[in-house]
Amino acid sequence: MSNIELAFLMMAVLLVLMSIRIPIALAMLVCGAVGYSMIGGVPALLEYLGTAPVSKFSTYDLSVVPLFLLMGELATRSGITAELFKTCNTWIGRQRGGIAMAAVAGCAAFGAICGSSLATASTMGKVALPEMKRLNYSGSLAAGALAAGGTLGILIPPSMVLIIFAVLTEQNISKMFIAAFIPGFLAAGGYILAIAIYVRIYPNAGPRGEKTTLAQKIKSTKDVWHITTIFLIVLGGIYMGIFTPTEAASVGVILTAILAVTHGKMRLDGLLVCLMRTAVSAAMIFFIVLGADLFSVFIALSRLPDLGVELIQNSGLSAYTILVLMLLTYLVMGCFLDSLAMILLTIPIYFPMIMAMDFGIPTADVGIWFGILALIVVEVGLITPPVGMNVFIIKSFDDSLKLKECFKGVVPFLISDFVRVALLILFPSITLGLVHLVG
Amino acid sequence: MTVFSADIQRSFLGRLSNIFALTGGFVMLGIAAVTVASIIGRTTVGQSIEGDYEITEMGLAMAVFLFLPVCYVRNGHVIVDLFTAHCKKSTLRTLDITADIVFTVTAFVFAYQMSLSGLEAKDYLEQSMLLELPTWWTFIVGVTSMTLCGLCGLYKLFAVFLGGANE
Repeated sequence: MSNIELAFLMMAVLLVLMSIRIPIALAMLVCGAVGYSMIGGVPALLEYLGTAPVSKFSTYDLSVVPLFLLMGELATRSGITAELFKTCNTWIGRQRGGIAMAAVAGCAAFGAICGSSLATASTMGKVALPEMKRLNYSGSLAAGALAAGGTLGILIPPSMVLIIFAVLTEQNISKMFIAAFIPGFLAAGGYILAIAIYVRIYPNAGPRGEKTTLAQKIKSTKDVWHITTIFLIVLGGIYMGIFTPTEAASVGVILTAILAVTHGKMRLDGLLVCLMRTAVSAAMIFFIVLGADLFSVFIALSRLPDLGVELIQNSGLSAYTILVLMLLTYLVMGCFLDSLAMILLTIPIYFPMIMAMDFGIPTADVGIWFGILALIVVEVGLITPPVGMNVFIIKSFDDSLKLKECFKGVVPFLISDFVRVALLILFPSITLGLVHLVG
Repeated sequence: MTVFSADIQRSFLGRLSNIFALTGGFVMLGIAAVTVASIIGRTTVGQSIEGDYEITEMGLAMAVFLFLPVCYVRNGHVIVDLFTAHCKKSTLRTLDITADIVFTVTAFVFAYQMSLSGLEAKDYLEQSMLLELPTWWTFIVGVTSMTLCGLCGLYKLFAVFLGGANE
């Protein structure tokens, strides 16, 4: 059996193992280990197993993962989501569908200090869903807006998937964060536009909220000074090049901890809950990173990526066609795989292929651009059936919501996602412009 | 001997995992504090904390190892459950036992191999550049945590075969 055949065989075994409930990380470890030992020999594998955990886990850049996770946990305990939502609501709640728009805007703001989609969807869902119910919003619109809004948690930096992508492909994390800024902003804008169009077609889906005076608007805006400050220091610090991502995340952890204590009345037991939740999420991510590393070392050894590059060069397909095909595979995988696992599984094969193609933009930029595109597409899996985690979270808050109606509500936001991806593919400068401007 | 509880979270190993995780959590808080102190030092007196990079790297590795057992105990690892959603309970049970066996073996293999590499690092006096922190400290935490992971795996398996049969 040639090494290429071995690589295909192990990928098939990997899929089987994953589909019979072996944890994804473990399945990658096992398949990687078997493949690696068949090419490199058992002693090399044992040597790798002895040293890789320590060397992988002491990667400086990865320190932002637990730090940003902790920051997100602390932020959810700080009670600021209620005020964020209120502020957005006083400004745009009066519009038709305004509460849903306010929820999306609130998600975007919260996403700027939290890197997790599920946390964003669930904290904002708790605050905004009762309000939308009170005003007789249709279940579809309410659930759709919140589930889609939740994805902003990960699209707008800090973003776990983006950090892992950057470390894996040796991109600069700060640059990736800068690149994600405008696409993230466009995502929020696109979702709000989707709501505006939706309520124009179905006027009863999203009634107007209460009228507010300018004084109320200004007062409510003052109420969110703390989150604005944290956002400006943390992400502003990264964007301006004052902080490394680890430094920014550390500052963020300390500031949100203070906020959680002073504003959210967090006490020691609350802190312990935050630490525990961080521990579970961080261990899950690092274990996948470890498994994916062994698997990608094996894939690289098998020279499968070289074959991929060769096939592409001989296929006569344009670079853009292949890019679109790759992004489509993410949509398919998103039906059963978690977003981080998708990135880790595919990058060893896709990334060399992407870098070998000519998109008419500098090679250094292609990596960043592809990362942002992949990030958006893998997040779509969070709001589409059958897995759609965000949708399930929102549904769990309100038993009267029907699953079918929730997934129906997601459709306008999906359309908005696809339009945005198309724009980002056609105009790479939307993503790269800010990177060039700041860098 | 205490009563064998089928619920690993309330067992001795489960509690030990919690303590490990919280220790790791405080290590991360410590890293954040050191980094912030370093930034303050850099901007005020022009002197950052020496070796803050190394402290972060070593602390991170230790914290991640300390996080691993609790993630396993609380079923935190991501699985794909789409294709098995309609399986019988007994089938799911068999599959989960398989996963637990694989996990347990993996954890012990890691623990053993890492102990060998750790001893090697100790013999060769491997250390960090500035602060000369010995690398084998991280290995000790790693081996201990991996061993705890393995023990938790054994616990789960025993719980199934001894007590969990009539759940």
